[in-house]
Amino acid sequence: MIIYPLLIPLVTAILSIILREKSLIRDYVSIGGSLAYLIAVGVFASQVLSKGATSYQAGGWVAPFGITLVADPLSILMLLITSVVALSANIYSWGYISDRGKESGYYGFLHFMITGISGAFITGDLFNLFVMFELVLMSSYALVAFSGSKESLFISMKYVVLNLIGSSLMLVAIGGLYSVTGTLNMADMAQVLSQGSVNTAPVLGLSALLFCVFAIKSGLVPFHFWAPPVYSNSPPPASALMAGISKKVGIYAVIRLYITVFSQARLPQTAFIFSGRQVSVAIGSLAGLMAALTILVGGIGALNRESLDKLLSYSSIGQIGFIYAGITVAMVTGSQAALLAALVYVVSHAVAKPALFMISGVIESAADTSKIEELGGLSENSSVLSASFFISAFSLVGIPPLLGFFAKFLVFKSVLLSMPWLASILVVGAVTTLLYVSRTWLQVFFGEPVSFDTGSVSRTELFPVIFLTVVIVVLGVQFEPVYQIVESASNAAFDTEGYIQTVLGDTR
Amino acid sequence: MTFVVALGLGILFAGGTYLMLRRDAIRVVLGSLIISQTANIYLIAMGGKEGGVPILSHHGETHSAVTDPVPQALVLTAIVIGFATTAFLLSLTYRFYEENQEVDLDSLRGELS
Repeated sequence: MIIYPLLIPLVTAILSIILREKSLIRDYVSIGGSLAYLIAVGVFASQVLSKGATSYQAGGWVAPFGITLVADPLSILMLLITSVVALSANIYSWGYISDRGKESGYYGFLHFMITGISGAFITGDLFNLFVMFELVLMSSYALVAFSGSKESLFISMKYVVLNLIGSSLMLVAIGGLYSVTGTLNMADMAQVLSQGSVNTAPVLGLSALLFCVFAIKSGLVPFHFWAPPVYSNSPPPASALMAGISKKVGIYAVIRLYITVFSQARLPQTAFIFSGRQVSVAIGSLAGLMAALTILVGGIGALNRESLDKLLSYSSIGQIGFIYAGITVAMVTGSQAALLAALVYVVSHAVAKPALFMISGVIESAADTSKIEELGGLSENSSVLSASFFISAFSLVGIPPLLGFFAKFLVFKSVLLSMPWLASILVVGAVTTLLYVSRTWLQVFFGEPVSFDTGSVSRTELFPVIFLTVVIVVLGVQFEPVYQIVESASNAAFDTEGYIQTVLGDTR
Repeated sequence: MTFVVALGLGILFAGGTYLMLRRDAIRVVLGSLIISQTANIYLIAMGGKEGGVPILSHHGETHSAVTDPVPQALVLTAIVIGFATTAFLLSLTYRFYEENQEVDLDSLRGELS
């Protein structure tokens, strides 16, 4: 069962490349693939949540030697949000891509990206994580350059070069960790580190290097600069998927590696203020500083953007800072409630941000501009669009009873208890979020109406927007089941012993 | 030996970084190529102790030390990925040249963004 979230998008990607000339079949195959993915993940999720975590040894090679796939509630949570966003991005692409007559290969890249994302969520092997990261990146390079304009080629090139450096650093860190611990299997590594038989000083440096790589992937300051041009130049469904889900791959990797694995390594007495503390505490202190800067840069940067998609890109930088604030507290104090809060925030952001990117795409194609100054009065043109924007944007702000309210509230609560200085930054971040969201809301949806071609908005573009908006409301009103899944996910992240047991089983 | 390898890796990383900071897009591609290959050499060096060819040397009579096969398997994968990325980057540079008739990155910065 665990192999299906990998297999389905992979097969769909290959099929949609083979069938790229036949536009109708290719569209149905692509949508069918996303639906099958959603169903497979749903069935698998209910299995794991009722029966507990499971693992699969690829090729039958015993755990620390072969490649292991593991699915515990944390992976399941990430897969669930991926499947929902992937399906809506796919439906949006349906109208968007064939309108522009440049369909060949697009769906292939989209599904390869989903393959890489699911692979990263269920792999139990550090090097396999690198391979999955590359799969996500390779597809996103192509999607960024998709429009083929001068500007998008330039931006794609910068993006490739930056990520090539990131991948090389990741290889260096992985090679170093292998040389220190003698294993690449994450569960085995946690076990080796907890036994205290290896020198943990190099582990600190290498995990800091690895953290920089994950910071590049998830766009933490000072590695955030790639995000705004990349998101505003990709096709809207692709930027929805990138901002909503592939940023979360970096976040997932941080949670899995630093909270489950590196928290087992205690630093030697020579490590100054961190002597005798865990590696994750040292990295967490750094992450806290970066999270604070991220919130400020993202929030203040979003205040004065001239176009809607640039504003959303900066806003997604800032929101990632909120998630990292929760993760920081979890890393430094080992607080389970803080990780729970961060994961609720992950869910809320992963649903709201794709919806907003798609709305911005609809507005850009219908009004022929994405400049906030040139827009206005859209509430008279499309009530559905404005209602969706209102709900998803104010979910970002954190208005009850939307999902974003619970996310912000829980993060605030856990950060305030242990890091009051970070909580004050969170307040600034929340105020800036309110400012830029309400500025956009007033400017774009009220005031002098501009020409808005309602006819050019296809139903396949509106449907995913409405779908995601309904998800935001439903998950907010019915928060109890979300809370339960997230709670078991955060329990699983802290339960290193259980993770080792799932992967290594009786072979220990 | 360790020192020589470390020094060589340092020089290669420095050279790659230098090339990457050039204005010419082709040099940037070459720089990224050097950096990713240096990471591969580093990975091989992490294999640790010297020894015979893994697996193959079991057929012979000597059961003496064999090198760790895992880093070599990793490097194979990393080389393939690096190859694909470099190919993509080169074709991107070519498209870039077609659009602009030049590959100077600095002259474009003012024009775009």
